[in-house]
Amino acid sequence: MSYYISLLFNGLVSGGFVALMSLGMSIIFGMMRIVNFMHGSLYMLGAIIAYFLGFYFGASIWIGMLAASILVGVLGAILERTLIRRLYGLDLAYILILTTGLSLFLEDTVRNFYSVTSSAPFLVPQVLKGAVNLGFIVYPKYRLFVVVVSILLCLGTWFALERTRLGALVRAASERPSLLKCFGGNVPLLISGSFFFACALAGLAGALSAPMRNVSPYMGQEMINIVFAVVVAGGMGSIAGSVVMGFASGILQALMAIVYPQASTVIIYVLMLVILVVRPGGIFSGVDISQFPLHYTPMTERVRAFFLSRPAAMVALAVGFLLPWFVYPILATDIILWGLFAVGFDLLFAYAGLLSFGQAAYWGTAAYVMGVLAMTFGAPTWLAFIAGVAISTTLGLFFGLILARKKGIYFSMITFAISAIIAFVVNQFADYTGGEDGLHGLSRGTLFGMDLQNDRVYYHVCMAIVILVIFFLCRLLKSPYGLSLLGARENERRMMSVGYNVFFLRLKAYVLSAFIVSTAGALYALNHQFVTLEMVNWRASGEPVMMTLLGGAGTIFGPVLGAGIVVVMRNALSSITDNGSLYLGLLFITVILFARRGILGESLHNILDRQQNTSPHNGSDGKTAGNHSEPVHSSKEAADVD
Amino acid sequence: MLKITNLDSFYGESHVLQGIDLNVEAGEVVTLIGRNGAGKTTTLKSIIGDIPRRTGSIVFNNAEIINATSEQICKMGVGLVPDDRGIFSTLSVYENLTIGRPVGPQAWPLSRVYELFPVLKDRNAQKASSLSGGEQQMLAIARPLYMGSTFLLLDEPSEGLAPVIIDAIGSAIQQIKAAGLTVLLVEQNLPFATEVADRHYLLENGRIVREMSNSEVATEEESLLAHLGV
Ligand SMILES: Nc1ncnc2c1ncn2[C@@H]1O[C@H](COP(=O)(O)OP(=O)(O)O)[C@@H](O)[C@H]1O
Ligand SMILES: [Mg+2]
Repeated sequence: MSYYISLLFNGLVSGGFVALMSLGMSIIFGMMRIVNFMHGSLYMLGAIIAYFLGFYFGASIWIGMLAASILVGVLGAILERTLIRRLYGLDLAYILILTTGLSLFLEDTVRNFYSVTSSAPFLVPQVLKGAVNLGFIVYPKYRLFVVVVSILLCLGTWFALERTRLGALVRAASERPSLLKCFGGNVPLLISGSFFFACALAGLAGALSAPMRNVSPYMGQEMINIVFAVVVAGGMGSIAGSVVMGFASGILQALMAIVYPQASTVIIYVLMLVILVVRPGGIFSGVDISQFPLHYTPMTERVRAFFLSRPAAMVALAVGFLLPWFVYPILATDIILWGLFAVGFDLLFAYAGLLSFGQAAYWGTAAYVMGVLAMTFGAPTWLAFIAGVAISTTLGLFFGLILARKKGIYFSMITFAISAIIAFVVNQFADYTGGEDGLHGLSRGTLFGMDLQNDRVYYHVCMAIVILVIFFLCRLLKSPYGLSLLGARENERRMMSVGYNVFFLRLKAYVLSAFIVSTAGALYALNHQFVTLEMVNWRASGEPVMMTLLGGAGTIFGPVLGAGIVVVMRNALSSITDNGSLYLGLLFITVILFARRGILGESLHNILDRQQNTSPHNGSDGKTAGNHSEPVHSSKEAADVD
Repeated sequence: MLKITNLDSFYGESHVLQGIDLNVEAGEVVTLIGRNGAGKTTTLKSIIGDIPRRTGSIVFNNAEIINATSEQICKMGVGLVPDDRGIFSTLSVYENLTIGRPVGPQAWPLSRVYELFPVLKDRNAQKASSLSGGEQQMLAIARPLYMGSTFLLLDEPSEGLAPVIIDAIGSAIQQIKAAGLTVLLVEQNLPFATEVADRHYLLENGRIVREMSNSEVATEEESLLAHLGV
């Protein structure tokens, strides 16, 4: 009995960390309407700071907590003032890239100075050492301390927000910032202050976890995933929701650890999926974000037309043929296949207006189905390939039926949950999928007498397929279907009122995207002749987002260019420096701040659009969007942004 | 007290106010009348500094405020009662009322505010979104009084309210005037306007086309109503 109770207490302990983190995420979302994907890195920084202070200066947890929260809070506030502030009111994708870029940067910088992985028990002062007898259970004092501190902090924050004048100002600023200014409220200060506080909570949670968890530069990554799911399930921006779900997630994991240990990490995603399907706003009603405008900096019609034109295709074709002469063929194949993945993503993002965080579900499923059929059941490669793509696309149809009705951030969250669940399933059936080891030794086989084992031949086959898909896609986007899809992105109501079934338009786009991504995934597995868990990992879902924005969303060839840059940079950087992710992080930050249309998009915009628009107020729509000093909340206000 | 010369205001590319000239003396109640979309709300927003792009001159108490922020303008004594009443729905009645800090000696103590609108005292712990439309309007008017604004911008306070409530709001405005405050009122309800105001400006397509006295408004009520389309 006491064993179970102590397991439950352990659940409360890990739930406490999650609750403190989610609370901060929720405050930031409620106030600024942004999802702070670097929150996990701030948690990591807090732990590292406490570790260092304890290790070198013999500081106790008290000093560690204080220093971690102040330093991390100040860092967060500085980043908000200098960088994040420029993106208020813009699409979630930009925030994702910027804060992910910042995360990469922070993690890699820390890794440079510190790469040990161990906990910091030396932080625990004498009073908190040992165990305490609670009557029904004997429990370590420090863990109990964590539970008490996190509960007190959550209650304190709730009290401050709901019952004090400062809290009223914060709530007013979240609701109607420009109106609050008319009553003398200092909105920018309130925003920076909230950011400081939320980040300080993350730093504090990190410090608190240092004595009992492995402190490593990457400890924030797993945390951010759980927190993300918790915040969504609790109701975006709802303080109570995030705290309750935070503790609940810990307890739920502890319970799962008793009945079905393998599923304890995935349970929170399942819960989030169920909640979002049953109660789309989360369990507690958070900020109403159904009307929340997500602006992205679009291509102008002229630039879009250029990308769908013949000259663009010719240039791309030429580059495609020259590519294997510049990089070795396996890498060249990687580039075009990641590019194809990104194109599939971009179809949803730029044309359907749906930001998917989970396309790796199809990239990986196709590869795994193919791998299992070929390796375990001995199917010939071509058959396994076709079956893999077909099954994965069918899965896309199934999920599409749920997803095509969802919009904005909810769509993104559900795709994220789905891909987490797929990753879990793949890992669960390790007998077939090889689990952590993956499936090795896939054979590419032959096609029409060509030996695909030859890398150069394989590249050209892949290129033919990519060309075919892109050609088909260009036709489609120029067709009435493509135009109505774009129309629904711009103004859903109008499209519905003229008789379009927006649900079907989106469903088709989703399934098509799943098909493209599946094809790319299966080909990618064959390129390397193995399938690993990395293909279903959430990070694989993030890659196409970055590649697309880097190259230029909505530009067909832009995502492929972005893929080229990312793949080549990773490859080249890994041989000359250990700081590949640091530079990649910097690149993301730069692109988001200075070239929001992506590299290809922005250059063409400069060449094609600037000639025409000589008036100073035209053609700079993307720039003005970044100059907001406060979040854009009502759709009316946001309408003048672009 | 307030002198506007050649004010131009823009929403993005659209040029909404085109050379507004008007002035309001201390202690006066002046209305802006004009049909929907004429630019009345935009004029008030320009005065409080809530329009990012505005040019020309707005002098308030001898200070140029055309480039000031709404925070600064509010602290100089300009109080806004927005057309949607500007209630913060997640805040309680009391929190709404006291959201602006009292500035200056003109600030009304809570007791005086409650004397004018007793209902706000009875409901002060309730969420403001649970108030009726008339009560919300009273809360919206009470807010700048508590802050100590000396110049009120009232945007269609009678809109959508029952006649009894309109009377109550009207008498509140008269008491506010008697207390020495200055009011710039946007109003479509002409009988209400002539009852509380000293004079009127007629606004058309972002321009002031006429200044009118109470008696002119009364005699031309028919044609004005036709013009306003109400
Ligand atoms: N946020 C806005 N963005 C763009 N145009 C606006 C906005 N608000 C008002 N307008 C336009 O400005 C003009 C004047 O509006 P407004 O000042 O609200 O008129 P009134 O209060 O007299 O009815 C109208 O044509 C309206 O369409
Ligand atoms: Mg108006």
